[in-house]
Amino acid sequence: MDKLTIAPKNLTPYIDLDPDKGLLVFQGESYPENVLAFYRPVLDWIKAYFEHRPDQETQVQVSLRYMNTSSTKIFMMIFDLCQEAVERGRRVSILWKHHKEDDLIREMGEDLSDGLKVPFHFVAEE
Amino acid sequence: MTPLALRYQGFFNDSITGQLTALMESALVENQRDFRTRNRLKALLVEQIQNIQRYSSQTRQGTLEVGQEDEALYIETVNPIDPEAKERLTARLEGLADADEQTLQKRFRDAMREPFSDDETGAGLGFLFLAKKSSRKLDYHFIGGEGSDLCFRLKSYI
Repeated sequence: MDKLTIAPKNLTPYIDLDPDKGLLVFQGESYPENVLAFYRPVLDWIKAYFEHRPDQETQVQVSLRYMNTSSTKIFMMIFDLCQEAVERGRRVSILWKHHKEDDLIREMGEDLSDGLKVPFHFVAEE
Repeated sequence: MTPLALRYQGFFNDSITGQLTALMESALVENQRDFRTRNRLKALLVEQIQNIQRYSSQTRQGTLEVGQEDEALYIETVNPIDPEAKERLTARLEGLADADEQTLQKRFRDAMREPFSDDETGAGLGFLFLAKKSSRKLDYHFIGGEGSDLCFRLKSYI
């Protein structure tokens, strides 16, 4: 399975999905108006990844400066896929990085992790 | 701090959204506004612009105004809507402006978990977020209609 890398643009983040390292990285900002159109290939890749690489330990690293509310729904879908994988015995964790003063991104992480059965760690950065 | 003002009227797309948020960000830095203010302004601005894109009856046309009332910055958007959109908007907004933060928080978390509906590209979470984060009661009105364009006006506060 190939790596998927998407270069950052004004309203969309840098994305690097690496099946060999088991690292799924999202960095920058996420607020396209049509989030589904942008994230569809990402969602498809993650679904295929959990099917094809069941033994790979996986960490999802989200480090966003800003995300619109539609993007939170996409991350809910991504984390649901992680939860399904965990329920099938996969080792998955989520790292949610945010600027130490950014209570909005922190709160989005709290909303997303509520009730989720995937290890979820917050990191506040300078 | 000098008063801030921005007014834009016309077409909205992702490129214009990016330019308007960048413009506001640099104006706020220049104006020595703190992180929290800059952060909230961007978050509320984007949701209001994308609300125009979603609901405007005239291919993403609308008006955006950022200004200051007393000490509070506000964001006001106005866009024409179809009469049937009025019902959808009313249903979404009913009770939001008066709901307490705990209720809004719970509704936001529930809405986050609902699937995307077929008729929209957005998530329907925008109004809940605006009501939750506006520092004053979220203000909305329908104006015009019957002979003139029916418009939706929405105002949130930082």
